[in-house]
Amino acid sequence: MNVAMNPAPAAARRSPIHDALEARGAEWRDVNGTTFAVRLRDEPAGDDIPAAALCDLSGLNQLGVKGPDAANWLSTAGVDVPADLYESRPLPSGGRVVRFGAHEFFLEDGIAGSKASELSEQLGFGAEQVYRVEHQDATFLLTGPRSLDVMAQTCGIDFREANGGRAIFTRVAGVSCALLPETIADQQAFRLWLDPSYAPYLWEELVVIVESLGGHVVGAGRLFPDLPA
Amino acid sequence: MDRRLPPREGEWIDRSQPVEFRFEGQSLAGFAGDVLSSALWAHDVRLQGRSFKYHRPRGLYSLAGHDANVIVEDGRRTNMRGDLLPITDGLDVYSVNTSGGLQRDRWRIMERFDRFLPVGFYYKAFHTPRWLFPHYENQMRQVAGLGRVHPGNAAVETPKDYAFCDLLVVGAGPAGLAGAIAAAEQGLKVLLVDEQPHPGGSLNWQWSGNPAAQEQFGGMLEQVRAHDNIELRCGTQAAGAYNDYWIALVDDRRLTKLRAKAMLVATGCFEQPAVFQNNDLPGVMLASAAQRLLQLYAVKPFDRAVVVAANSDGYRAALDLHGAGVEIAAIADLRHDGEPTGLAQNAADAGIEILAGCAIAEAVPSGGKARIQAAAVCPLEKDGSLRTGSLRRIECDGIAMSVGWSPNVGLAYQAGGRFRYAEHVAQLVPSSLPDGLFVSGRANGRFELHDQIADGRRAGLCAAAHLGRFDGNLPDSPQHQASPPSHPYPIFSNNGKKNFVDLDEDLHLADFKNAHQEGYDNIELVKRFTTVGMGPSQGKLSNSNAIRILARLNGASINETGTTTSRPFYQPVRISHLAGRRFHPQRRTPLDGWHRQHGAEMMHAGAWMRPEFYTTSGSTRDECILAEAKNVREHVGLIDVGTLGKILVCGPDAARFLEHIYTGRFEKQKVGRLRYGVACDETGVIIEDGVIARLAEDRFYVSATSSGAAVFYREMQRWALIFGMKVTLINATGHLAAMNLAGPKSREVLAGLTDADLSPDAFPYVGVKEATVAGARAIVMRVGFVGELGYEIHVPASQGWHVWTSLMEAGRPHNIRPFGVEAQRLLRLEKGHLIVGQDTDALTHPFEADVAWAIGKDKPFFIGSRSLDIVKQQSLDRKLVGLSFPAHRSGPLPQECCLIIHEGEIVGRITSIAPASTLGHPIAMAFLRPDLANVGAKVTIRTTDGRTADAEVAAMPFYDPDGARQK
Repeated sequence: MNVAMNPAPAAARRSPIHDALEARGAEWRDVNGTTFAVRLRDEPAGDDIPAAALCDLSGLNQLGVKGPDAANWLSTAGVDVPADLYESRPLPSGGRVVRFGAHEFFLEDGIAGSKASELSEQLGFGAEQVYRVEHQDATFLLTGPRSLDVMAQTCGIDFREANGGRAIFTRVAGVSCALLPETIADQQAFRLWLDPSYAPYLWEELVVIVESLGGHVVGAGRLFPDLPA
Repeated sequence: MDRRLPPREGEWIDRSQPVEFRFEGQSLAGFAGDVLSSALWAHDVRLQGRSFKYHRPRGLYSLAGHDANVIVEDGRRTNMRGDLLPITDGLDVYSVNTSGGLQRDRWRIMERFDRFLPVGFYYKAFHTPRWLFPHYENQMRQVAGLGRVHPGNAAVETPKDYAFCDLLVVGAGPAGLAGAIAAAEQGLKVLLVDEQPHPGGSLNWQWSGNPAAQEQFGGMLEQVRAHDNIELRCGTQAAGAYNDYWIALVDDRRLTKLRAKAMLVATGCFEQPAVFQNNDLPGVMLASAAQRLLQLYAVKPFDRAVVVAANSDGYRAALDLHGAGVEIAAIADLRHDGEPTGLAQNAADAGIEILAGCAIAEAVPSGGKARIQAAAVCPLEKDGSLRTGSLRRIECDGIAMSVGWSPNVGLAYQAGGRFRYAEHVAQLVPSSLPDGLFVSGRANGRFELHDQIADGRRAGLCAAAHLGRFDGNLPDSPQHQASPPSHPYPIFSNNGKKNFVDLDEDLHLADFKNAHQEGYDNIELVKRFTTVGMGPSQGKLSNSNAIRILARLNGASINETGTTTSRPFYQPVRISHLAGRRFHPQRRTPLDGWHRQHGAEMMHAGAWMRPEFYTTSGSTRDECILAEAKNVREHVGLIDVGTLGKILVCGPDAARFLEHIYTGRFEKQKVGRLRYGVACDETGVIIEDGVIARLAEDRFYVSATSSGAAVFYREMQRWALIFGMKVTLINATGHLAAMNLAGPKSREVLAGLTDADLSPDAFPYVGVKEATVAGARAIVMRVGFVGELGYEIHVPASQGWHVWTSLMEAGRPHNIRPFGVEAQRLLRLEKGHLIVGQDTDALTHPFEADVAWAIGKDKPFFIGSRSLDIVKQQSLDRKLVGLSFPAHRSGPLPQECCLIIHEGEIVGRITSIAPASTLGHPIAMAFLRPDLANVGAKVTIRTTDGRTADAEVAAMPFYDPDGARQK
């Protein structure tokens, strides 16, 4: 039996690090049905990106699909399907789709855009040879001039040679993560996706390292000033 | 007395930053940039430490980080070397290994007993009677040793870093600088490291009086600093080389794990001491140490000195000292032909007496041996022995030794390089190097400055060619043309006296002769018997001479004698650096914060944190657990089971796949129903259990144990490949929150929050539905793990908090309470449900665990079926049974794993026990020998304190055997 896939009200969804953000005086805002900490109490003034900036974007809608017909199903739904393993492509209206396996894809909406959530409703619990993969990943965004130094203290991969737009599966501070190098406001950035049960642990570790390098935890509003209301 | 000189070009001290520190309780001053030894010497504090065994006075010796007898501690940090430790304001240090202070060390009496302490004395003296050995050991540990460890100190957290480069250049001296520039010019990303706080290596102290060399140095340094492809890290030691150029870099702050594509070792040489009587006393030092003291720290090493030389470097040192106002009483040149270069004339022009073919027979100590007052110079016979009848006493307060060098190539050895002894330089040079490893400069036997630079450039280009960035002609390596920079045997016997070979371990020449007489004629055996090279400096100043001594005793060549093995680390590394920042990933359910806010006592469950129980003011732990359990029995409880494994098995072959994985049947399982499943390995041992819910014809939802889920999922993936079935596996464990609403009121609590029909007919026991709960899409299962009407609700992790709090709110009128892991364990024990991993072990099969009913009849195959077919034919050795304890009893209760004893033999063990239960008496589950397992039989269990407890075999389940309450 399939039930209606209307997600629970946005207020019902919580980031896996909600408590940690709340303790930092998070100012919450609902955006496109999801909730973000847009600003934190101790954020430095101004709009500049600090030496290293760590931001929680776990409120973004996600969808995983897996199965022999997954690529075809996505393509039919208007998604530019990545041809190569670990390659990512933008979703129409924001967000991205990443090929995690031969028959497995991961979609995440951007701050703007709702393709992943639309497809999630459309898929329900699955279709013929297309199965829903429950993705409640924590999404952390790390950026700033010293973001490479943060990665160097937590992960044994040389990210200077990493290609933007290709996901890397690795361990960060001992936690299995999918990691996507990207650029935000001309700054090197890393998007980390991880099992939400590890999120509080990894967040705490990253915060310690980021702050030791002169960086800060920031709200989504600093990295995405045009965050829609 | 202040020995500080006026400012010198290139000095490392910052005279604008005076520093006050304390040494052995005495307040002193120095400058930023000073190390402890230089700052002490500037105050003419020559006694800076005591030796390991004899507690002899020791002072500054190498000033290169290898002075293993000048070791201090500050109450928090220990075993810090005086020639490495920067002084800072407030530094307050004491010498290690003394009793009563450095000056009045009571243990200095040990030297009087030296005749009773020959090499290996402790192997021979203290093994009988055995009962006295602890006493001997204790005494020896007090007399000999290094600093004290303070285990109470707080842990220091240091970063652990990763880094990458094309070429690691170790050593920023002339060869290293040239190599780094040459490689970087070809496009290589170069990391250039040097253990010293400033780059330049010997250019800083050995060539400081040479304007052309300094100009060349300045030019290279400018190029290095300006080049985008070069990262320069000073104060960084390459501590060890591991496979594939994985190099441990250690600086003051952290350990960096470097992955390089190639490595250039340009680490130079360690200057080696001469061996003569009292060559260890303060005032006797390597010529390079005197030059370092002079050039880097602007401290006058001596007032009047004798230089013992066997190479051009000794003459340079003598001239440097002379230029700084040190009176050079003589140069004792070990070579009968003297110095062949113009340096000899320079020395003569400076009025320095040159004594060719002479050695120093003895450093003559002053009272207390904390200084020297003269050198006894002695002509050498042609065979190198001392002509002791012609001793000449020369008054001096210092002896500088410049008799040879030993290449600093431990890192190259560790990376797979091999070396041979080359007569033309009288040192080891590379004989073979693996791909990607390069050696240059003095470490490669090139001593002239222009040769070092040329050789460094050659090595840099070779590295570029190796990495495919250079295809031009590679220059030849310049060959050393001058006389050998090292004397082949700078060791002068003075029978029975203190001719020290290894200052770390207080080994003198006679110790080697004695060892050899006892049959230790192999270098590795000599090392272990004498402990040469096993002290803190790891033989950097002693191995070379030890090999020479053994070679001569054996009548063999250096190459025939061989060398000892070089192992990491280059210098001692702080434990805090090795530990680094500790990463211990921990999993938390989406409800973790709620549990903590509501008084949960959290416990580790594998990688997870789970609420053990919820504290209640005024109640003990056991009372809290029992109260939670009773509330489930009488009202309704809610437990977070988000740690359970949650695996979706999809595809046309899903049912058939599960029939292979589990012992049971699933092909005919109805959609909307769940079944209990047991999974075994190929040997028939139970590895997992859980419920298998059929959500659709081609879609199953499987639960697994919290600690076993990840491994089980990987096993499923492996078998899916082996079986080649059309099945898609999805591990949703961390992505779904899960909670079990259990108790007679659970239906009423849930009813108002879901769109599912909860009536018993529509949603019976072992039913499963996909529904909404509190607005969240959910999988809801009717399970009975705790033996009550219950619903296991799985929802997206991000909505777990909302659903949980909604249930708690809805349950308030029904006395809902959260319950923790311990209450759940009790309730399931009452119900007789086993926990895989607790009530089973690595040998338990379904027949022993009394779950053979879960094996599908006439199944052609499942994993472990063949083994179970065999096991089934055999009689059982043990059986899982229930045990009941009297409600009113005295004496201790057994704990899990306590043994069941029958007629003096072990016949079983407790697997689970509940000291209190809702039944009013303790109960347990246990493995028991089958012939003793009849219901009502009495058993005796040995408790942890050695007493016994009696119990009775009971039928399981203990509670609600008909299962009426969960339906």
